[in-house]
Amino acid sequence: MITLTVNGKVHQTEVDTNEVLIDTLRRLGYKSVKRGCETANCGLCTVLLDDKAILSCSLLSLRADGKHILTLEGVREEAKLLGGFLAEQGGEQCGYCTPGLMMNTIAMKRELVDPTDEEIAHYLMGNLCRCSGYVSQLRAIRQYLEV
Amino acid sequence: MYTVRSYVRPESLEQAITELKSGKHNRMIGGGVFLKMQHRAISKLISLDGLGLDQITQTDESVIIGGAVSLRDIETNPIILDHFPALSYAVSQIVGVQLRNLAQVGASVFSRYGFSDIIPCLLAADASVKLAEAGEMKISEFLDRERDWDILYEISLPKEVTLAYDNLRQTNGDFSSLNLAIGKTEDDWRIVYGARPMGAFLAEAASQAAKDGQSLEEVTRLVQEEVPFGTNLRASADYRRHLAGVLLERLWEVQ
Repeated sequence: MITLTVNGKVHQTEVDTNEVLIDTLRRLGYKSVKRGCETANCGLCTVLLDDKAILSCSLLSLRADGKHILTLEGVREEAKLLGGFLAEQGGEQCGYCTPGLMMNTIAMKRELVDPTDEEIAHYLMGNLCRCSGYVSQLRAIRQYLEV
Repeated sequence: MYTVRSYVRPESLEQAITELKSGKHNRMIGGGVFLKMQHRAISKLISLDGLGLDQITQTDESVIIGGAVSLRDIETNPIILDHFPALSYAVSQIVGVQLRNLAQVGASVFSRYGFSDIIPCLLAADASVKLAEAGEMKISEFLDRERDWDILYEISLPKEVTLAYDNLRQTNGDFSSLNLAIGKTEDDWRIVYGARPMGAFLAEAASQAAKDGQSLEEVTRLVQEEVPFGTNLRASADYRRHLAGVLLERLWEVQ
C-alpha cells in the first residue's frame, strides 16, 4: 500500500512492484497522463513530482510513495489559459502530446524567470510533437509566459 | 521494461551492499530510465533513496557530488556552475529536463556507458569516485576495473582543474556522435574523447604535446593517430576522426 497525494487529494492504493507511476495515475482516473513512447524520450507522460517535472512512465510507483503529484487535472485554470493560446496560434493539431507539453511548460514557468526563446527550447527539448514544427507552440508559450 | 520481484530501500550503504550481494539477479537502480530499456528479470531492486546522497557540497580543494544527485541538479547547482560550468553544459545536452530530474549520476557513471557525456568530463578533471566496497579511487582506475558488485556513492572533482567540454549530436537530445572534454591545471593537460562510440579515452601523447606548448595542428595529428575511433549508427570511424579535430579546435580557441 502506498500513499500518493495527487492534485491535493490523498490516495491510498495497492500497487504491483512492477507498476510505473503513469499506470497508477491512469488507474486512479487521471487520464490526462499519456504514453507516447517506450523509450523515455517523448515527454507525454510528464507530471510534477514534488514540484519537479518527471517522466511518469519511468518511475516505479513504489518510489513515489508519500510524494505530491500534480497532473493536468490539477491545473485547470492554467491549462485553459495555455490551451487557449495554443489553439489560437495553431499549435494544437492532433493534441495527443499537449498534456505533457503543458505540464512541462507549467514547470518551466515556475522555475525560469523571463526565459529567452533558446532557454524555452532547451527546457522543452524532452517534449516531442510529431504534427507541428514547434514554431506555433513557441508563439503560444511566449504568450502564456508573457515574455 | 524490466520485471522486479521486490523493491528495497536500505537505510545505510552497508545494508545496500548486503542486499545487492544477496542474490545474483539483484540490481541497483538510480533513476531507472536506462534500466527501463532493458528486458531483464530482477529479483531485488535496490535504490539509494533517502540516504542523503543527493547533495552537492564543496571543500577548499574539491567539489563533491553524491551518487543520488540528479543530472538536472548538476546542471543547475550553483557550486557546479561556479567551478565546472562545462560539466553543467555536458549534462544539459542529455534528452530533456524530465529525464534529467530522474537520472542519477552515481548509477550513470557506474554503468560506464560508452555514450556517456559525464565520464569524459570526470576523466579530464582527474576526478575520484568512492565505492562502498572498493573504497576511493581515481576515475581512471575505476574505468579499468572489471565490473563487479559495488555501489558508486560519491564523486569528487579537484577545483584546481579548469574543464572544457563540447560535443556533436545529430539532433538535440540524441546521444553524442563524439564528445571531447579537456581538463587543464597550471602544469597539466588532459584531453579525453568519449562516445567514440566506445568509452572515454585519455589521449596521453596529445595531452603531453599540448602541455609542452605544441601547436593545435600537431596535437590534432597526435589525437588522430592515438585515439581509436569506431563506427556505429551515428557516425563512421573516419568521420569521428575528422570531428575529433573540429571539437579540439573549438575548445582550443576557448582556452
